[in-house]
Amino acid sequence: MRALGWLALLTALAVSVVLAVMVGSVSLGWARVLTALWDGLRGAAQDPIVWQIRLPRALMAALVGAALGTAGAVYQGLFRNPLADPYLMGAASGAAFGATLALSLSGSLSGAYASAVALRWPASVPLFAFAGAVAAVALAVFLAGGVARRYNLILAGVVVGSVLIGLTTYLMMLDADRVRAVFSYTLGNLAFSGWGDVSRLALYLLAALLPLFFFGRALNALQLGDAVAHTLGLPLAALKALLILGATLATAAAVAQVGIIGFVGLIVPHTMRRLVGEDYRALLPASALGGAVLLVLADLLARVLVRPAELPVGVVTTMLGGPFFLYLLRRQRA
Amino acid sequence: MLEARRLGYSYARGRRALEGVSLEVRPGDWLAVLGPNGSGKTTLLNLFLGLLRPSAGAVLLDGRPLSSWRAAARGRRLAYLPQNGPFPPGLSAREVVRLGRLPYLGLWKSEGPDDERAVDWALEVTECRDLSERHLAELSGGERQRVLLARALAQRPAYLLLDEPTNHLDLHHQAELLRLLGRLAAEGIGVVSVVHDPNHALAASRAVLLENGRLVDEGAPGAVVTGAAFRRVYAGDVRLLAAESGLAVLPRWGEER
Repeated sequence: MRALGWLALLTALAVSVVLAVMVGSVSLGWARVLTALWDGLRGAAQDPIVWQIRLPRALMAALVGAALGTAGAVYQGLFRNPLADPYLMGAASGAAFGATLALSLSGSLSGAYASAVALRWPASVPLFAFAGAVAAVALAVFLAGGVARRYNLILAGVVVGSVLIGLTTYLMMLDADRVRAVFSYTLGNLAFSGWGDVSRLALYLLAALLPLFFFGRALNALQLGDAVAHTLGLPLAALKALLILGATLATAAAVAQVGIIGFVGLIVPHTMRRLVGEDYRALLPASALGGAVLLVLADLLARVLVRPAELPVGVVTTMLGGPFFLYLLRRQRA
Repeated sequence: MLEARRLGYSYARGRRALEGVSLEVRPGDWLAVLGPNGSGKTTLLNLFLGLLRPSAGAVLLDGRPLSSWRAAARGRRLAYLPQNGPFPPGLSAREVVRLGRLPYLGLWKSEGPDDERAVDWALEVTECRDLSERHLAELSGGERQRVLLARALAQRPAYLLLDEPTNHLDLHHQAELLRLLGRLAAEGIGVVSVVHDPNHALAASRAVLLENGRLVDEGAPGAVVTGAAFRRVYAGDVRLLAAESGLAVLPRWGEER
């Protein structure tokens, strides 16, 4: 049963990526997609539609989904709160605000100087995004008076998130030249993803996400409560700091690249619990895979629902996530 | 030996929760900690666990200050069962009990034969063998409490600290748990249980009575509950019955004296 679940996840990821490459303004048959992928891999000529446009976009969706899914699972385990999610906790909005601030700061500097800044600190956008995300989560936890009251935490996160989205929109209006680049931050969009973005995000996730997978047992122990986790010899303060930083950095890196994509971190871990159980050693990698599948498919929907135009993928995940949140809320009360 | 030496603790606003408490728990002892709400029982337990740092005096474990112990080494000597603690509903009983091996394994080492033996023993002694593949969410309150106790025992602790372990258990499970604690003490584990119901203290080998953060009586449980301090602390609220096989402590109701 468990083994089948993993097989199903891996197959779903492969199939959804191939589907995402097939569908677009020019439809490609699956045979052509597979051939093009194979040709590109063995170093023959790369089909430009497959290799330059659709594949990087699909892989970007997979990476972002993996980041948000895993971050959601970590937040839920860490705060012992089934409603926690990078979007609802304010982390995503904090990252969007930070990224926008970084862009508009560099934009307000005069031309030559700005490019010097960009050269010297190519990481300034993700760095600001990360700082914004950490500050937003810290503020939400502070406003909620700790993490024990789960509804307060979510309420505080949503309030912090809304204010930050307001501020982000304000910054964006001040800086009309950059509106198009900045617009995607408040409603995530994968349309501009190229190989540069894919490799940049992959690098950040290697640092932020990969270590999280080694903390499954620690997250299991945290489910027994802080006092017991302490008596089991876990260094609680350091452990929690590390988990928050990892999940928040992963969120910030994703948001800095593609903007806010809500609810992935909520939907995915809950679905994966059904599939692989509640053991975090399995749940974390499953949430990464599940998040990847969900976002690749959501982006596919975003591209076909209003053809020939496109929806920001954040619209699709929010439409899915809102009802899902209400379902969880009802189940909590029951 | 687990020892409190002139232990004191004050909360932030200067309220003294505990003052000048000295006591010793040896392997094989079963110490019941009695006292009304707010008398400092839980504070004492938290100090013993290292969850709080003493503002005066010290907790010594095997002769060394608790604060100087490495966390994992402490986890192999001291285990804790909270009352109504959270639990992972979707893990099997066996997986939960395995978490008790964390002080031996750390976060990454996988379980070896020693660990599985400790888990088997803990499941056996708590009579949880048949539950081991069931999820915690499917268990009754009494069964779950036993599994969580097995989790603490899988640490193979020298000292086991429990906060109101009989809370929310029916009479049958209360009796079962008290017998189990007796067996564990007989096996050489030092047991410290905070209890609300003085009758449960009667099962222990020793009792202490706390009042306003001070230790006001100590001795054989029967002597403590019949002592002057106990009568003063619960002035007029309890009556003692000589039952067929010993004592019983009942709340006093009505007007009779």
